Amino acid sequence: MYSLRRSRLAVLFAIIVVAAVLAACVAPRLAPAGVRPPEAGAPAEKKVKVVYWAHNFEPRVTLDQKYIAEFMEQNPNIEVEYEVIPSDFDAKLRTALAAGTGPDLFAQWNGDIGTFYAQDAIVPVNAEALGFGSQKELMDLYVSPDNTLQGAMFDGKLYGIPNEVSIYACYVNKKLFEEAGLDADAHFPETWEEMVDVATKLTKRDADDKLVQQGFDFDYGASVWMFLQWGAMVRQLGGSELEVTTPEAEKVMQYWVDWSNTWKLGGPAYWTGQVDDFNAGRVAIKCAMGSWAKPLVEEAGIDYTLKKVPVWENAVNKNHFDIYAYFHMVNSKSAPEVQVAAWKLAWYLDSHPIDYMVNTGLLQPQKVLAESQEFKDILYMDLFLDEMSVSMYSPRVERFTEIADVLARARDRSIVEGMAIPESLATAQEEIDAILAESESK
Amino acid sequence: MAEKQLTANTQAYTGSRPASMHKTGMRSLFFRRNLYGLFFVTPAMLFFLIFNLYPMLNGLYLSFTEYTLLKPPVFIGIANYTGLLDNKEFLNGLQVTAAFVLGTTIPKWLLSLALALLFLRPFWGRETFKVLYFTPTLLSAVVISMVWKLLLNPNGLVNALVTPWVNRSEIFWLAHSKLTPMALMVVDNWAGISFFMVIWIAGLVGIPREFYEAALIDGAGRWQSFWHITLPLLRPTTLFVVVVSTIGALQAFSLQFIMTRGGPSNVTTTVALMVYNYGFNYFRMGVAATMSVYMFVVIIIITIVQIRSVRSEETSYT
Repeated sequence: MYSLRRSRLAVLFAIIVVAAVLAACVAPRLAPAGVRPPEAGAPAEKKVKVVYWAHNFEPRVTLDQKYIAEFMEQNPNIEVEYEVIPSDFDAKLRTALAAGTGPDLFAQWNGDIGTFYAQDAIVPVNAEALGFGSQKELMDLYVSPDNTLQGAMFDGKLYGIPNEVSIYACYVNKKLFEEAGLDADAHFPETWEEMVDVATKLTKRDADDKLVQQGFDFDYGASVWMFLQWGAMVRQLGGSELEVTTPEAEKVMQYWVDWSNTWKLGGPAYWTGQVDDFNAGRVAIKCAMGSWAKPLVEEAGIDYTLKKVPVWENAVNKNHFDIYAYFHMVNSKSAPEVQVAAWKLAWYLDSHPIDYMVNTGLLQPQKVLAESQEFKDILYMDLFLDEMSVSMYSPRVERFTEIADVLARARDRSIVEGMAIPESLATAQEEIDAILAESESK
Repeated sequence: MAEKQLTANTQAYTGSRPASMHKTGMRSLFFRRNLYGLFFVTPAMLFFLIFNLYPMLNGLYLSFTEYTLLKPPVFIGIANYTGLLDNKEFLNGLQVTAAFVLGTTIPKWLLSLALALLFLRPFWGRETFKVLYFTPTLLSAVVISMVWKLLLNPNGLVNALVTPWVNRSEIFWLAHSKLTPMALMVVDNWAGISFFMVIWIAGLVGIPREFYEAALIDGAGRWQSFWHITLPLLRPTTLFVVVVSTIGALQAFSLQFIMTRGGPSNVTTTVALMVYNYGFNYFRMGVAATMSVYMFVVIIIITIVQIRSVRSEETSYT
């Protein structure tokens, strides 16, 4: 009898364990994001919970927390669950969205926004809910909105509010210029053609012919960073970065290949990091760092100045390298009332551009910021904003990362393997066309 | 033997009860024991079902779908399977993986066995050297990759040591279509040899010394002893080393991801790295799942072939 009871208990226990685990697996799918069951004794008005994810950047997180607390105080019917993802934000966000457990509001870079839009994962900004008469009214608060907000525009609709807009500028090591008998202000190259001469003068090799100092080099890190540089250079010539078998695209690729193989001024083999080599005094000019790098460069004790990214002598467009941004986006799977609350939170956070600029260095290009004394007092910030007003974002297409990888392979085929540029770019064009065709066919 | 033991235990439990009761008692005991077994096995089984079997079956299902992560999967039959056979990138990935397997398994087997034989002999500082050789096993793949990335930089230590001998000012170890795959193989061998060395040592110390003494009396030399005694008796260890190292090489990811990102121009893009890229960067989880299934089948086939070949040799020996 006793043993039977124990056996039953064992079976019961096994069943409970199985049921609990299955329930845990199934529960998140049953409960849509943001909609929470009412609690006993809750007020008549339904409390809305907004789950907000952001990548980790400590100074910004501190400010986010302050404004989220303020927001909840002003909106007692909205509860915000703020989650800072310490690392690998992109993969975690994608996985969570796939599992149906993604956040209601997230701040994500524009590289994925084309895919998010094509896959109906995000919704347009609800300007009316934010108290604006129209989307235009909101956009008019920004400096050069056609450029600075272009990264989130699809079919005339805005799909994100930027909480951090960046663009690369050229950081110049004044000491290395002086050592080469150059003046950083007077001799900084304004064109890519001049860049070759200046970089040659700044490049140093040791007795064994080893490259110990570079005048300038491109950034060979992630392929999407390459796109910000290479694509912008093609656009300067009037070409399109998605049509790579054109004379403009070939000219730019030839420049990159010559930089490594003909002029021997650098190349992918020397790349160690986005900031490291400049801060170690191994590179005199680095044009792949945004305003966020200023504190890092200053901390490294580099005597520097900032210059605009060069353009071609015969440039058709005077754009610099591409703009990139983190946009606040809202999950299309969230309940409508949660979406409204999420947009309200996003706009509340993005309504303090001066505070974010002063305390975190992050640029939200609003007119109120550009006109403020605080902004004018920060050295070189106007240069970044000037660059943005004439530059564009990389293509907002589905599977942009895959296209960027295609281009990086084309670069490597020509620089590393010595393949003829037209042949390499023709292969790349085939791959790009296939990706675009596949996306369009859906 | 096990049955006898069970019967003995059962008798001890049931004592001198009547035959019908004896039978019922045995059944009850058997039932109870099964339940206890079930009780203790349940957590492990659940873990296996949820974290192993379910993902595998789900992965298999996803391989028949178009799945962008952002929308529900759409069943498309075997389109992913046929599509991959025409995918030049995937075929290149298979080649890269096959070359990496060859370049990181055979050297590992031979060098780790040689080191194990060396460390079986007494010499001054043997234990210290053994610890030093084993150290790379304790390091994470990330640390190893980062350190070697610095060492293989054009201005790094490796170039400082090598370039004077080859009359070159710089060698681009990680930006060269031929050298980069080889550089990664060297790093992987460096990191993995010591682990297998320990496995070989464990196998070698298990061989009775009497075998060697008998062989010595019969006039066998060192080489003959190694060939006719050591190697045959190491077959279980050999099987383990061969299978584990091959599976590990087929799943190669960390070095390629951290040191080269698969470049330059995909010369180090293994299938495992492609699975990651397609799944999490390109939003093509269906294709990524299909690649995984292909690799699963390849691993199963290679493992079966390896196990059978070692077992058949074992049979012929006995």
